[in-house]
Amino acid sequence: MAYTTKKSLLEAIRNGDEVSWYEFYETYRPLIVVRGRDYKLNSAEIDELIQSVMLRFFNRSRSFVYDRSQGRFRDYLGVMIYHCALNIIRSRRKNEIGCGDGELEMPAEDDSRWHREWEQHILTQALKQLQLQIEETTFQAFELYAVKGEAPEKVARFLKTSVNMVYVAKSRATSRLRKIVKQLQDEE
Amino acid sequence: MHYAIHELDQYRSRTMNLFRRLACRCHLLHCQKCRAQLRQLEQDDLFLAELRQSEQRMDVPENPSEYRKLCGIFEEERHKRESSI
Repeated sequence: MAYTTKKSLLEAIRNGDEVSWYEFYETYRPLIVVRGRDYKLNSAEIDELIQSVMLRFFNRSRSFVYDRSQGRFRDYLGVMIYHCALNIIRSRRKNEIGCGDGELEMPAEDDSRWHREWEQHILTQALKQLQLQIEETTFQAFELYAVKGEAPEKVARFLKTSVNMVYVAKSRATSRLRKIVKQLQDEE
Repeated sequence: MHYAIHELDQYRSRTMNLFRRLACRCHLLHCQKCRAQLRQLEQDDLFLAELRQSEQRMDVPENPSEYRKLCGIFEEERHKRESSI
């Protein structure tokens, strides 16, 4: 089952729905990995980061109520990732010879970077939703031409359609995609 | 008569032949509606460039073993929770 809104996904998690856990993991894992790279974590540490963010969320899921008036989910998740990354860096420093538990430096402009990454995350999620909402051929034409940058003639030949249809698919799909992005942003 | 969206896209991407391009350019000088459509296509291209960038940035290989490991941990946590209740 694909949860169409963040609220429904988070509510399903709260009720202990197993499938929704996978969807949550699949949805936010790339974002956590990207954040881990921002914090200059190595690949093993990024795995640890994913695990600790997921576990922390799992432990809080029963009491977590999605209430927009209490703050945005984006901020909640961002802070959670930040704290988990900080713990990983701290424990690494403890194991390094000659490194005390002094002040930890996090990347400058962290907030604006997080904001940008969240917007990129929204775009990729919107693309996934678009695929479920439009005809397969239209999506393929859009993806090949507008996203992957293939020549419209080549796309038309591959999909056995006209070049005009490829252009029309791009225009229609882009317009729909904008609406989905808007909807996802409004949900926050 | 106005140009269709695919024709304007062809005009923009210079895939329209020279004569049709010239005719289209003349039309655009006088037609506000087609000019607005053309501007929308330009906006679309900026939006799609952002989408391509996002796709590249968020392209993280899947890791099924990681998820299985997490499921194991969740299961343990659940047992802990239930036994504490």
